[in-house]
Amino acid sequence: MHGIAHVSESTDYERTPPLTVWNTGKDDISLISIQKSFKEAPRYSCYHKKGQKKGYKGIHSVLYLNRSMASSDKKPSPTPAIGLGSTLPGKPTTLGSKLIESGAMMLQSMAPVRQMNLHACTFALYGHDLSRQIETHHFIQRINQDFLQCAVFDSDKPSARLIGVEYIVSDNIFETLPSEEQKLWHSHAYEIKTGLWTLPGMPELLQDPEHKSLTKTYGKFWCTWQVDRGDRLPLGAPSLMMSAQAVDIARVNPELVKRRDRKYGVSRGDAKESRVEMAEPEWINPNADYWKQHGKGFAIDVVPVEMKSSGALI
Amino acid sequence: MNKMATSHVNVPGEPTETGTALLETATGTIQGFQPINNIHQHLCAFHFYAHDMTRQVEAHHFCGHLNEDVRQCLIYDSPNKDARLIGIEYIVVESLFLTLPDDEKPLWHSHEFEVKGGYLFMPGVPGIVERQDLKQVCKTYGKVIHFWQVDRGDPLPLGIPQIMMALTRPGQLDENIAKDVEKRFGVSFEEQREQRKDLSGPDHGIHPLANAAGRGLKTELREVDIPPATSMPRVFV
Repeated sequence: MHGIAHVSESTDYERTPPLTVWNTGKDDISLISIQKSFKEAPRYSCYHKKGQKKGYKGIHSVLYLNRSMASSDKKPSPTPAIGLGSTLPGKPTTLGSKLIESGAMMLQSMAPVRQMNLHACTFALYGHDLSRQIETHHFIQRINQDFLQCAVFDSDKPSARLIGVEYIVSDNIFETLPSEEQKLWHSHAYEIKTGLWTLPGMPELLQDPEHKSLTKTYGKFWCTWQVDRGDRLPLGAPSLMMSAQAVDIARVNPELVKRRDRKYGVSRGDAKESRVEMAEPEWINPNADYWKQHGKGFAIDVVPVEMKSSGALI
Repeated sequence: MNKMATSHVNVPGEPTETGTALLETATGTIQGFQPINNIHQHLCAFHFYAHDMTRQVEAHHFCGHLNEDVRQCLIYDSPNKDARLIGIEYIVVESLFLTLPDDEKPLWHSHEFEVKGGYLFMPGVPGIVERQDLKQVCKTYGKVIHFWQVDRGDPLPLGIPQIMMALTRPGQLDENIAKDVEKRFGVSFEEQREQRKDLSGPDHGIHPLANAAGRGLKTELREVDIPPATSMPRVFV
């Protein structure tokens, strides 16, 4: 077991650096970390052999014994990297950085990112806890008629945080996947038919053709930044996300939807009308939305292992 | 055309239908893409799997600043129009890295070696401009996750996410991959090394927990219990 003696909540990282002390049991974590100030080099000690390293005294090789770290479904330990409102830590972008970026923009081709030409707003549920739901903004590139790749953000503003990646495949492609793989995917029919999925800025009628083809698709969405949990920085292992379904535990909180609809002027009436005529997929593969039939979600653990390397690469 | 060294497998599927393409051209003009427009920089570097240093991937980062201290990048397998989106990287300055929980730090890697070694570069940007930014990047830490194992020829993003690491010592980077990138982008890592001699890494040195604390890291999938679904469908209003 370890306890935390004191954690600095200061956001002024120049003057009051984080001060954290973990007391560890002999058989558990082998690290005590104390850093009183940035002027004093951080000191580490442990129960294993010590060595010397520039900038750090009493360095060791840290061994995490029989312990996984940073699982997607475990709350991270309290540090200044977590806070109410999950405000982003750090200083505003300097003019210098902006100038470098402008220079780069003029000289470099941003070809891959220029291919994204579709913006969808929808909702996603955490695969290990369906009650946690987030509004997502997908910026989508179609690779071919059966495959799309999406960069997912938590808003559509310039300050949007990149929170993950989703891949979308047609039912034809989905059926070719091994069942172990299919379990990681979710179906889209419900969220599209009910208007949870919308294309901001596009009249409902114009959205139709896109939705007709997307209704039958499946998605695989990994979330790398759990902003709804208060993470001010991207912490932990990636989390598998699921989609809303016509089942109590997987319905999206109506307040979230109302707020989103208000923001984008989505008329629930319009959406319902035009989509009610939309053909439902005849069949949704039961391996998708795995939790529905099996009552099991998925989490990702990160575990320490021996690094594989060839003889020459040490 | 800069095609990556490893064999480029085509993503399965039918060619995009005209109707779909037309619609998406429309959405491309009408909708807003502010988060994407915030991406202003292309960086090329190498990643290897955190559990297997022998599997190395050429990674094209398209990065934007969230603020001065935090950047976020989309990672593609090439800088071309048909590039596959294979991962994400987050980059933070040293002071923010130190605020991470200790069991999070191993997932992050230092950039000092690959910047000073010349292996990380901004294609198309003259060295003198490049170095202005690399001076900052040299002191940062990054967290990379890949979702699509293109190096093993996967035609689709299969499996679970992979934590990736960056070069930290000489001799790690496969020579063939290095030479291929140097040729395609007209760069010389050795030359860059010479010119980057005055760059320095994190002020406190490389943190001992970074770079997986010197070990390997592997992701694993675990099932968790979800409360049973009630059979009563919800009426959506």
